[in-house]
Amino acid sequence: MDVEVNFIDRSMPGFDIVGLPGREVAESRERVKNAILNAFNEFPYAKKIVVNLAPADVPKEGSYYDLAIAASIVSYMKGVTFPADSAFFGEVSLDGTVRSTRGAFLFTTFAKEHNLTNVFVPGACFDEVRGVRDVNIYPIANLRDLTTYSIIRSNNSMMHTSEYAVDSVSPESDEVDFSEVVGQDMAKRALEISASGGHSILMIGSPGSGKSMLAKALCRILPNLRPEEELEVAKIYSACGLFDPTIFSTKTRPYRSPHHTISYSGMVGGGTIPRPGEISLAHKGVLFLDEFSEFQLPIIECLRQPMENGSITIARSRGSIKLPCDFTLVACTNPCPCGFLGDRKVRCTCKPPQIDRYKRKLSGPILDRIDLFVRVWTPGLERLSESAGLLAHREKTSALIKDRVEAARAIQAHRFVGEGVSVNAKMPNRLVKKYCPLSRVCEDLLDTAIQRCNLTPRSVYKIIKVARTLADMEGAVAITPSQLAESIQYKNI
Amino acid sequence: MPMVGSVKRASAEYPVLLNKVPDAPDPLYYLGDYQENLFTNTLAVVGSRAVTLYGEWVINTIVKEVARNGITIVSGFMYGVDALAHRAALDVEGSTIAVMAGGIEYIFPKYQEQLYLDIVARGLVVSEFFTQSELGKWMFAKRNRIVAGLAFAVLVVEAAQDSGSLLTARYARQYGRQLMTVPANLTSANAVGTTQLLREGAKLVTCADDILTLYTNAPDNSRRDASFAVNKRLSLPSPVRSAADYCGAGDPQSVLELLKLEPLSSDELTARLLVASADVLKCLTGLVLTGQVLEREGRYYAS
Repeated sequence: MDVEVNFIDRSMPGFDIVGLPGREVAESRERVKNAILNAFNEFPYAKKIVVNLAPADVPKEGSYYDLAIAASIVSYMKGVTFPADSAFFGEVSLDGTVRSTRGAFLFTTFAKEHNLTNVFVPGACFDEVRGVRDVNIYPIANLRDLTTYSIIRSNNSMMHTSEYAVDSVSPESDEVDFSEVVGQDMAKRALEISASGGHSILMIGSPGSGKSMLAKALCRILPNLRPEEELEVAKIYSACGLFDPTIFSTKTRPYRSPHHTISYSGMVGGGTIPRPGEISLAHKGVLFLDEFSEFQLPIIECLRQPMENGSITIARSRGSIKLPCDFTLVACTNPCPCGFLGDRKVRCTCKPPQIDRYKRKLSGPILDRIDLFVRVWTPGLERLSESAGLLAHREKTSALIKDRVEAARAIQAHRFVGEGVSVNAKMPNRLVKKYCPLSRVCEDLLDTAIQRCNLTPRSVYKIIKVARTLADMEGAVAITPSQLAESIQYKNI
Repeated sequence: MPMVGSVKRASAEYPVLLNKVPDAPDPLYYLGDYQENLFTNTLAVVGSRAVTLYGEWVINTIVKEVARNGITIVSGFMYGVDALAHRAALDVEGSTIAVMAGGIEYIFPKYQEQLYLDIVARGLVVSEFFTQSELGKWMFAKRNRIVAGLAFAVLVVEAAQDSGSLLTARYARQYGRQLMTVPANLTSANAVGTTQLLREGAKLVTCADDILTLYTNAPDNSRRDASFAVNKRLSLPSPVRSAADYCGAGDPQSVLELLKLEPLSSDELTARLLVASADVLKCLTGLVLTGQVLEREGRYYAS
């Protein structure tokens, strides 16, 4: 948006803003006028001031135009000249201070992409944007600073992104290390596969079997964000006002776990002013849905398209926006309404028709799109002590597993250069054909499995993709029948 | 040609065995192809509604074999053992009679409609009532006496404590019909009823012959071998590779040995065999694809 200001002598005094200003923008007038008055004790009353927000046919919303409007008036009043390619962002307060405004990082990177090398942002937002390279950042704490901006300019050409102050990086108190989980070998293996290849996973188990704990353990083995992914995630969070500068130092992937009472627009995004939903906040990370069967069916249905495309388009009467939502789905559910079907200790009290109905709710829409199915069992007490002794030496820590995951991801990064995907799970069918050639033995094995296990074509592609990840985890070039065999069991429910 | 009709007790076509019951239904309504010889050699198969994989195995192995030898399978069309027994008989081109709790046209449970249609087409549906739009619990009890009444012998597959099938067993004893049951694991809740029956003198059945010896003039013995061979051929997928081809470090044989003793999950197998979970899964795929093992509710069973 361009902000043009014209000062007319020979006219009735006034101050107008044109260009389809929304409510907050129209109110800018009062804010800016009072802010300038309080900052400088003067205001060009005698003039007719017209501010135009171009282009004129696009509705303007938000309070961040304030600084731009104020700057143009101050420029006239005080004779200050700003550099040609400058961008201004921020809301002003009545007393002349510039308030912290949501979306500073997004704005700054946007300005940079459009070759605007000078960016004026609220002083309070400086922390958020100082990592952006190759732009001159001017933190403006008070409108008065506009007159002395050239001195304030921070010399951040030498500042490295990793120098973000990491004040309190306390490990999440409810994070779990893999070595703390005894047994559950299939689940742990499946979670490692999920982290390595970005595969979606559904864990089925009785209450208290530890499935939520396992899902939380996944946090620690997720690979770090790649540089281009960091940027994408930061932008989304900036737009929501949730920007956290530690993301650049810890490079932790987003991990969202919405409660099952979440609304449709909370999940997908939207609202009267479109905001990113949970699926976008989980972009390049994990969307964890606990008690999956308790989510309303329309909300589960709405996950289908994003999982397929990696982006969601939210259409409103004023236009549509496309938000990225390339997430990995991790879900937990019970096997039946009472939760104890198959449990050795507690008898299931559900009638067969109830169980049937419960299963049918999950089937169809989302089941076919999940790559890995794991059954999680409540460990028996005697097994805990026995296994703790025998198998303790085998329990790998999360750090060790994460290293393996990083290695597998590196292979994928190398493979998919220029292909538009970053992980095996998101390969479209043509890339599966390209990167996962199968030997005769493998094809025979798949044919038998298709007949025996009634597999759909989509399931077959998923089995191949998981096998590809298994091969990457072993560092193998070609997919072996052995890896296919393992992959088939994750789909055999 | 399926037809709807009724038989009165006084008529000659009324089932002989059922006529011996003092309060037998009069008339008996039917839907299907009414043949008198359907009622000569009958075996009632009853049991728990919450049938386990063990019960399923018993029905698919023993009851199927009995049906293949021309014995008519009688049951109550309830979900669980009843439905499996009907289906087993139909699968081997045998005969089956379904005694409905409501009227002959009232399909309960609703989702078994296909089974109902198959029985009408190739077997017989009977009931005490012509039409009945509401079902009460008492109607199931009344139906059980007809099941026992039509049977030459009664096989109870699984029964929990106070199971409805124990009522049928009681009627069987009352009417002087042979009562039989299969042994079961004491760990199963479904064993309580059948163990009680054994204690009270029911005959122990471990194979189809134990049942067939009771029928002195069972027809169609010749059908046995032919259909058996056909079924065997159909169950093998082609080409079948040996499970060992792709099992990594795992040994499918040791997995199978453990599963033959009891059903286990993959985690339980991993804990016992002390190999990697991945290798266990590979073995399981091999065994599943060669038909030696099947998966149900997350556990694996030797078939």
